[in-house]
Amino acid sequence: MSRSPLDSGNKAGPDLGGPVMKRVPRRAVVVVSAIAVAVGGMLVTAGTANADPLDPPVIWSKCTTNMQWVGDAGVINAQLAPSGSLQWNVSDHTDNAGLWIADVLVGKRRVDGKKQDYAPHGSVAAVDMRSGYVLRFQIEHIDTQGRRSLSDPAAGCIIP
Amino acid sequence: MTQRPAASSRKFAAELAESLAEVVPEAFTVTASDETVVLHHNGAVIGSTDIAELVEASENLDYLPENLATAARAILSNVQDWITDTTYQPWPGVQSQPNPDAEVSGTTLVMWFGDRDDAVLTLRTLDLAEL
Repeated sequence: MSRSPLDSGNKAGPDLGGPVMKRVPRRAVVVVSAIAVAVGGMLVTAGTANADPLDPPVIWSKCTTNMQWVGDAGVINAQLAPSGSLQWNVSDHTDNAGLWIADVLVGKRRVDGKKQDYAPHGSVAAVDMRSGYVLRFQIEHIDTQGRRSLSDPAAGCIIP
Repeated sequence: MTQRPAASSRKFAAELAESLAEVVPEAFTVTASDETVVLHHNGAVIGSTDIAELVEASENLDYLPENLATAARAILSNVQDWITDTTYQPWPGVQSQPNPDAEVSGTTLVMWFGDRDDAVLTLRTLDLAEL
């Protein structure tokens, strides 16, 4: 399968600014938090913040029943159920094996976290979906060839 | 006034892992290492979660004791998914996947799959005083 870049931003969900799963050179891992570096023509950051200070401010949209954030390396899908719970999954366009580390946050509160060697999926109980807070995904994937991808900080939505 | 954590993250992870280990299908084992709960299948690691850290997360102490229930739900959900992804069979039960849930009741943490009043599986209740 060829590795052609896809359009950035999501297709059916909120209007987001950048690619969702960015392929990141491994050496970017050593960069300290909140410092942006240009590597291979792509601005990336590493560290806990997972945010690029040069990115435009994120304008969050309300969570919906069908959300998808597509990036050049992968895609995150999420569905808000009528009950208020949320289902989600993520996949790499070319290589779903390797190490996946996924966190889901509601506001500043982490409500799920997992590490596994295949593409993760999960759910967030309705009671943990606090209305008015932003739900965000922080996902990292190191594929079988050692390529590292990070989810875009804009992968998320406002909980209605 | 400073809030205190409702429990030790490490003890919580250890107790929850032990409780899960009592009910997972044969060939699966559940262990805990520090704040991380790990599911194994035939000795191989299937997945791990460090969400037990939420119990002592200093920036989230406003959410006591909900953090215990949230962390428990996430751990139950992850273990359920990993078992199902491995066996391609629903767990627990034999039909659709029952939702995991947890609730702090007095000084105990109650955890179950399915409806509270008609649970498919109820885990051993954890005594918060011992965490």
